[in-house]
Amino acid sequence: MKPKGTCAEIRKQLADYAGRLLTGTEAEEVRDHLSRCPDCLGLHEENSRIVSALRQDSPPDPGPAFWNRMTGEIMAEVRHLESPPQPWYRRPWFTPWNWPVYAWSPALALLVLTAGLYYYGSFSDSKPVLLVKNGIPAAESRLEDIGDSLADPFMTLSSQESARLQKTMGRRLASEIYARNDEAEEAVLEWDLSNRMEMLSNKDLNKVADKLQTGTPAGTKEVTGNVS
Amino acid sequence: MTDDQLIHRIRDGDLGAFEQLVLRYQKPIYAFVLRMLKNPMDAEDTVQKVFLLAYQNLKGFRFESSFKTWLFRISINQCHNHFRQQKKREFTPLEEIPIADPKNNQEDEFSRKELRGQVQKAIERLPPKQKMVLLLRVDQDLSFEEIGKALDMRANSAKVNFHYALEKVKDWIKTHHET
Repeated sequence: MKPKGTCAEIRKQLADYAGRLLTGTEAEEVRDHLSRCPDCLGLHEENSRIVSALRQDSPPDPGPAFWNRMTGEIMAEVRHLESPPQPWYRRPWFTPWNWPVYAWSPALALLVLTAGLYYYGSFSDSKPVLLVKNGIPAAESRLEDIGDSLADPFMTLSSQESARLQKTMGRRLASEIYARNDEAEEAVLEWDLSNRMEMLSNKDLNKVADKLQTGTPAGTKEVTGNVS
Repeated sequence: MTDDQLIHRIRDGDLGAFEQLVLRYQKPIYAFVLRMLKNPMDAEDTVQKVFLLAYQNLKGFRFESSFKTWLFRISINQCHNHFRQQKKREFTPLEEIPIADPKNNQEDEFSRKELRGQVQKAIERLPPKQKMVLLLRVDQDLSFEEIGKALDMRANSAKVNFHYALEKVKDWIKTHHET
């Protein structure tokens, strides 16, 4: 005997019935209907088979290591949210490689200091700022370096020749250092090179003469003539 | 200790209580999200986001539903976000598939394993809402009342969605077995 007229209502409850969500009376009513209605029973069995297959197809458990890791990562994020704000000097506003600011500051200061020293050291020899007041320290020191090698041959020069030679050398030095600065040239000309020249050996004097040969023709003739 | 008691303790600053909730619900949430996203890496990231959001919004939890339902609701929203970001709407609506004659009942010819494979394929092609209802009901044993709260719908709507989802799965299996 088929209880017609109630199939639609019963079928609406089949999902709840399969999930055991119905109360005692409701469940009893569905059970009674299914025992007498092959169509609804077939539908119920079909649904149960699908649901059962779906349950069995649940993904495999990844294992305790996976769950421990996941819990740990979640809790680490949560603790990070709850951690108090860092003081300003530890905030990561400029921390490549995650260095704290107090580590970066000395490193940066050292870098600036090194760069400054390098700049000062590189340009100090040629800076015009060193040419001050009375002298030309750079040029003077250069002359002092060669001064000891200037020797006797200059003793053979007459005072007139010596004066010419001094003037010529002064001009050359001035043109090298000051690029035709008249004032500086005057300063160079005030030097007395005669004492230095006295100490030159013949060989050194020849070297000086050779250098001067590429300069003014007049000076060259006189010096060469006297030496030879 | 119940979920509600743990929540009160979390609100008092007890992080250990939150860890208890994580341990209690990470498995079902992961299983659900993995079913939805089908990618273990995405599922893992999403589960972490779900718990983080739950923690951040715990002050707004008003005990109107169970914590479990609330957590599933967050998971559902995160899955939706993931789909939006990835633009993954890969499923083929089952409405486009011709429905077989229900009288032609040949399920007996399926082995259990084949049936599981067919069910899985059919579920992947369900519309997201029906898929969620089906998974929450079958996998997670949530009542239709809870599913309704999680999906922001009435319990009856959840039940209807479940019914349609089941019918579509059955129809799809029959159709594909015939072809």
